[in-house]
Amino acid sequence: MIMGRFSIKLKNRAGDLQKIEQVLEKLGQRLGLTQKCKCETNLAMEELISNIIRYGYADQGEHSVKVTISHQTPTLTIRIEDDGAPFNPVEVKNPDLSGPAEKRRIGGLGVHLAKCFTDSIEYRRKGSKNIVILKKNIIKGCNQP
Amino acid sequence: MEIHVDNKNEVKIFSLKGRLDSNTSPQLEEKIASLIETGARKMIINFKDLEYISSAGLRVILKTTKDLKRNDGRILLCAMQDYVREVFEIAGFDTFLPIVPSIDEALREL
Repeated sequence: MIMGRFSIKLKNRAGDLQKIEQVLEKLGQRLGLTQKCKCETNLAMEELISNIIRYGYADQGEHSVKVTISHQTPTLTIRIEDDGAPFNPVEVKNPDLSGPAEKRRIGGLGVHLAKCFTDSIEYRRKGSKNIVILKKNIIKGCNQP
Repeated sequence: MEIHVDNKNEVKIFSLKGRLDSNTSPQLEEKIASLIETGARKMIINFKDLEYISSAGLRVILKTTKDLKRNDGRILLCAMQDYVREVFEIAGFDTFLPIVPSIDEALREL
């Protein structure tokens, strides 16, 4: 049974990333999610959507990123749709996590974190749209005790 | 995010409250950069009241670590909540950045 569905639309500007926190706050109240679970979900969404906003558009125009979050016990499914340049986060290689600070790069870390904090990530290109589907099991140590 | 800066001897202690994300990390980056420019070389970042961090926040911490190392300085992190600590561990930052439980311990180490 689907317990809840939330849809939000973000414009391609950094300030709109705050909408993620707001929608997860509402969802968290409804589903009784822990702070940690909300943070992990927020991080996965922020990393992928901020990549779209920063790198997805060659023009200066306004674009929308459509996000739908649905819950069907025990899984949270997050669908992110944008009309930016084709980008498949599944294919992003894991960053090198060894070595001293001087040799570390921040690139690729966001997608790596998003993968670590979710259970699966799927990508498809449909016409001019990128569609990413994240799934997160919220029973596994993620909901209220 | 709220940023509170304290001075203890030559050490700058940054206490962060709220969220260190894509929107708020430039504030911290600017504040740290201006203090490095005026000679600060030892820093503690107190994460006690920080609820959320994303890779944008990690980027500022990595940049600060590199800038301070180049200038013979040092940075220590302390008092992380579970989620924040997990992000640092997944990113592998805990292998080159000291993370200690409290400000007092960080001050002893610097």
